[in-house]
Amino acid sequence: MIVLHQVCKRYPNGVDALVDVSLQIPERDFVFLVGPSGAGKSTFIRLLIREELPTSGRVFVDGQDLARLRRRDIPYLRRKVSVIFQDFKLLPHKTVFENVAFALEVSGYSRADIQRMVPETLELVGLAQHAARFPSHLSGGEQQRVAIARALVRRPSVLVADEPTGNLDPETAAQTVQLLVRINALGTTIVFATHNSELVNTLRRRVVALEGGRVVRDQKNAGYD
Amino acid sequence: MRALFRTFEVARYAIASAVVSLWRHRAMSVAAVFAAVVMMLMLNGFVIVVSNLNVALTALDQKVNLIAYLKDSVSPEEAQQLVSQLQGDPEVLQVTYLSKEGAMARLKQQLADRADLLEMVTGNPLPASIELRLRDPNRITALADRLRADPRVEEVPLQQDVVDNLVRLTRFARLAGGLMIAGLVGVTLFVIVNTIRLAVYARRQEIEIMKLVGATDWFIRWPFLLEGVLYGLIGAVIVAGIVSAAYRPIQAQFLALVQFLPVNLDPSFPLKLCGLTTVVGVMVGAAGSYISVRRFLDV
Repeated sequence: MIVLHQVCKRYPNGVDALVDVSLQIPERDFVFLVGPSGAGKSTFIRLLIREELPTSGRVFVDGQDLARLRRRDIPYLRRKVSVIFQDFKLLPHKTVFENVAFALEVSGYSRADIQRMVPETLELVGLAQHAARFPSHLSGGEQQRVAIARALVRRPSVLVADEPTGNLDPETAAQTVQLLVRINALGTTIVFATHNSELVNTLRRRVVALEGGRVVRDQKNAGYD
Repeated sequence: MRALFRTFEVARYAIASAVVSLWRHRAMSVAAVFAAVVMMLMLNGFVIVVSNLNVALTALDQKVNLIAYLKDSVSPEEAQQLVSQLQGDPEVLQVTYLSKEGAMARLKQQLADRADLLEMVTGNPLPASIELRLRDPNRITALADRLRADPRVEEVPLQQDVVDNLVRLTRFARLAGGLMIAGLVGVTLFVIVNTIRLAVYARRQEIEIMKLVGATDWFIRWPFLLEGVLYGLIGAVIVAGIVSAAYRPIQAQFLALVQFLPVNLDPSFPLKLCGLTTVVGVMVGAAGSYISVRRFLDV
């Protein structure tokens, strides 16, 4: 459960990235976060993973005020709230398996656990047969699925996607979204930031629209505009 | 129990990561290890020299005021004549004669179970000597001059001179050595700091992702800290190897050359030296990587 309460974010250069944003995202929700570039979507995401702190207002994840989170507890937040990006952010010298396993390695999971959990997740995203390949040998859509697998392998409560289809062709983009819909059906909250109107219009889920840092619309079963 | 497993896995990751990183930029790693080796060799040399000087200083604090070394050509009868002469001297309290063989026997006794050191020494380089205790130690100079004039006497090193010189030498050695080592430690730190900085930079992509997938700050730091420790440790092992191999031959040579001064014969000394080297190596390595991590790693 994500709650933002009158959140404002002003950057040191004077830009107001978010202004008086209040909203709630309950568990298992699928939310499109839409708006033009500079509307505040990336800032919103950074607040959710505590990469930034709000200038005023409060951000709650699972009842916890992120501003009061101790520095050494931030990694645990990031294990609950996973993020995938437009540029995938995969490690080029590691295989698909190793890239996904990395998320478990950093938490001190045993080899046995890794051998069990990674194939399961690769199966879920449809990449089981590519486990030994390197990212450079995969298509954009497949690379994004590796990123999704890595984000998913620890079963987070929330998966945040920051323009995940930005580098993909329309067909692959649609497939990626379908995968996320399946993941959402299995119980993970999805926050999908995008300015791809087609995707949003096709799915007709909850849409939160940002403009100039403000929430101008929050509708269920909505389209892009 | 789970927590223990986690710690083990994290430790395994950190060590593996450090080793891989070290290997990846092995040219710079060699430079870092080299700097550490030079610094620790100097440190070893310094400790050996100073400890031997200390031993010599202690030994000189004896009850013997004067030693006259006799020429090798002097026969035992001639030596006895000189001894009788000196015994008649009112300023002399006690005269002790030590033949060449006697001197060698005494040295062997002093060396005890390290007598094998003398295997590398050919012949008997030790001279016969007459040790004197004076009634008035202040009259040393006069008597020493008289003895030097005697054709049977090779040399009369003045204890006081020797002591004074030794003290001065020790002070100088400590100061010069200390400064040099401090300088070398600085250089080693500098090289290690920069090598780790490079390692951090080379892995910035990985570090960014580690932060995103929820790695703790220490999980990210440990591999780099360990890398610095590895440099110090590898350097220490190399230096320990060199010193262990060279210690006995050098000590034997020294014993043969410098007959009048005792040397550090403590059998556990090389071991203590290795221990000291390892500790210093690890600490300098850890310090270097810690400084680098604090300054250049964004966690």
